[in-house]
Amino acid sequence: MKQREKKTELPWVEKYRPKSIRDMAKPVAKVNRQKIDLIDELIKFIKNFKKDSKEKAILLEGSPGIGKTSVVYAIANDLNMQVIETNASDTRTQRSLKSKLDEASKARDMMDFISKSKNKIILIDEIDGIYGVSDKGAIPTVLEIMNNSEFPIIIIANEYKRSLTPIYKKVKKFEVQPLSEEAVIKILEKILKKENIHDFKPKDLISIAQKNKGDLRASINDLQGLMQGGRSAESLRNIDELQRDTSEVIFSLIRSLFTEVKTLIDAKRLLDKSDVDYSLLYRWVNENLPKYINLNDELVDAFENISTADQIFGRIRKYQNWALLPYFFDLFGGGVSLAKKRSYTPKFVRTTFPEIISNIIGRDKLSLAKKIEDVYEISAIEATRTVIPFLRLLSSKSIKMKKEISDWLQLDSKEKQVLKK
Amino acid sequence: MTINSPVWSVKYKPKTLSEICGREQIKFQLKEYISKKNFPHLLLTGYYGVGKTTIAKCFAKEFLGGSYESNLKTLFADVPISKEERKQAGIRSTFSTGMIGSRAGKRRYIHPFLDIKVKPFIQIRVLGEAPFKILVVKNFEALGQFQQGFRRLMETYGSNCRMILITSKISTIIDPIISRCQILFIPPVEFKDYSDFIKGVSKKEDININEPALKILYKYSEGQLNKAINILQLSAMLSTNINSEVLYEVINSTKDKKIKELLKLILKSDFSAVRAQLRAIRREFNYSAQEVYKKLLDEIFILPLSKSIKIQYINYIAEADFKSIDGLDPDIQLSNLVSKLCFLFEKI
Repeated sequence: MKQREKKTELPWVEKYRPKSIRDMAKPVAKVNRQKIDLIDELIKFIKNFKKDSKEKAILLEGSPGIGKTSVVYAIANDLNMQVIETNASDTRTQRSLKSKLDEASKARDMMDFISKSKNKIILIDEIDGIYGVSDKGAIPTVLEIMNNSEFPIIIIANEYKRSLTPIYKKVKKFEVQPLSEEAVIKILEKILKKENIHDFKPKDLISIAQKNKGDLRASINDLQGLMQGGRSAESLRNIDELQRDTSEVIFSLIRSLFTEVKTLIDAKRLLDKSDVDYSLLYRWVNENLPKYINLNDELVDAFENISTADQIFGRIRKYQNWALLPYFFDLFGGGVSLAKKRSYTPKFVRTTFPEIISNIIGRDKLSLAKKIEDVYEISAIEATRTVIPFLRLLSSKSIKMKKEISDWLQLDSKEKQVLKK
Repeated sequence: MTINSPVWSVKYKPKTLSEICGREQIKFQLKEYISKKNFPHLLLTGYYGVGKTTIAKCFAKEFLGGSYESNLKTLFADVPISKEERKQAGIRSTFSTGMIGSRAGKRRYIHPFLDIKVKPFIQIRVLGEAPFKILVVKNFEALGQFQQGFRRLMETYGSNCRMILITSKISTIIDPIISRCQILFIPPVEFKDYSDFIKGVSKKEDININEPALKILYKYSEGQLNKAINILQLSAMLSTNINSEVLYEVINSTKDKKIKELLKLILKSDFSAVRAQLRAIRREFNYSAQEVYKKLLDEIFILPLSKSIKIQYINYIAEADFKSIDGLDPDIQLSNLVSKLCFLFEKI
């Protein structure tokens, strides 16, 4: 009884971590774009591993929460092996990494010889998290351990990182695919059964699975939040609140701002719900506005409102007067979406990132602009605005002048080309 | 190098205060500063291209005398800071030593412009005989909210280094800066001084310019001598006798073809095409929103429109320009203007 109480305190993710490969949703991986059975490959790798074999490590790469770590633990459990794990939370420096892995990878300790109990698997979890740009010293350490290891090594990463290239060269890489919605739902149902919860709606499970896109860990977390948060699983609104902040949130937010919002309060609610940084959000609205509104008179209204919002935001920044913020929200949210009246919105609209035009001088003009900066004593930016167009015009009038200018500024052939255009 | 410059605007650039065209009152005041060997922080303001920087430089050089090379520095606040400089600023950022409160142990970042470009200059002591160093910062308004960091520097290093801040938009300068500076408004050149100067240039270059053409040039260049001399040089390549016809031809040829294309698209009232063209222009020439407004306004004389529509056109541009003073994103403000113009021409 006591033990059972303890169990319920665990988060469901830990509580239902698979003990055996039979319990889990089978992860699928890709090698060179060909699907393979990840579990088979891993077992083959671990069983065939010898001290002098060429392949000493495997790299699993895939988005978070799809069972990369779990599959290693489950296999180890089934094969009666011990997992020695390092991850971003407990190994931060090169030294601690080395001391931990060195003893594990080289000598089996005395106890192992006597009991002949367990073989080991070395698991380096979240490698892209620990050894970022700041800690390059760790990569040689990992490579060294890989060379000397007496045990199979499995490395887990979330995404491709350039700083990890030396490791990529030495390992076999499996790209673990996200789980299918059906597989996620199956597992969620299993958990609910074990938890003795029967008054849930299948629709909720589907929407949880859809929202998390194959991220099983997040799905289980959402499920626990929903079921233990008073079990008010009636409406989908709860799930909306559980929504994680990703860039796709912006996409759907922009879309619903233009297609679903009917009143000012709708717009307000929509913006309140999202955690997106609003200084960025209104630029998104600006970028995508003409795709949803295509009549010129409605465009005028919409842009009038968003430009006033921009003005207000500028004043907020300048005078630090944050009391103006509500106007800003209303104008770029409701003000823009309600300007749309008769405009026709096509079914599929590609939401695009806001285009940022920064004060950066094009690479072709840079050296010329720098020379002009010295002679004219104006900034290189101004040079591209005023002087370069003038010099172009001047040098197009006569060949003599062209020569004089290039002698004067000591131009090379590339810079002459810029003036020719 | 400047002596053999084929470009007249560089060739005839004033090198001392007394060579500067007109503006006697300002020159008098600055010469007083030089004779007394002291002056407060200065904030020069005035229209674009009116000669603020030239005046500041001539003044600083004369003030510092022989030791000006090591004690004078000019900075452009609008030039982006390179990656390496940014990295250095990252290294120099410090951890706050406070033990209590929300800032305890936090990393303090200083704007790379201040840290990389301003501080190394103003922290070093004066070299030579000069009473203090002089730092000229052009386009000061581009610093935006980081102007706040500047005011501390003006106080702490004020005795070692005086600053001459230059801006064309004084409304964007924060009050604490304004209260620490003496403001000098540089007016455009008056016609009398202007015509004397242009006549002097044309005499040296062996060309003739008649009186009506001189007036047109003054009107078109809005008192900007640089612009006027540029056009004078272009006209001189067509003929040595410059009259109003030659001048009009040259002025037309200097206009941006891309702006004309933009106007054509606006007349067709195709908003998304207009916005694409607008962005292409801004990317190529690094125009600020204000410059695009000006270019659009310049085109009004050639537009085949009725008087009332023209007034409406000007009205829209003025309104947009006013809004951009506070606005943060020039793209939004420009889109606003362009959408209005598209709608205006759709109706007629």
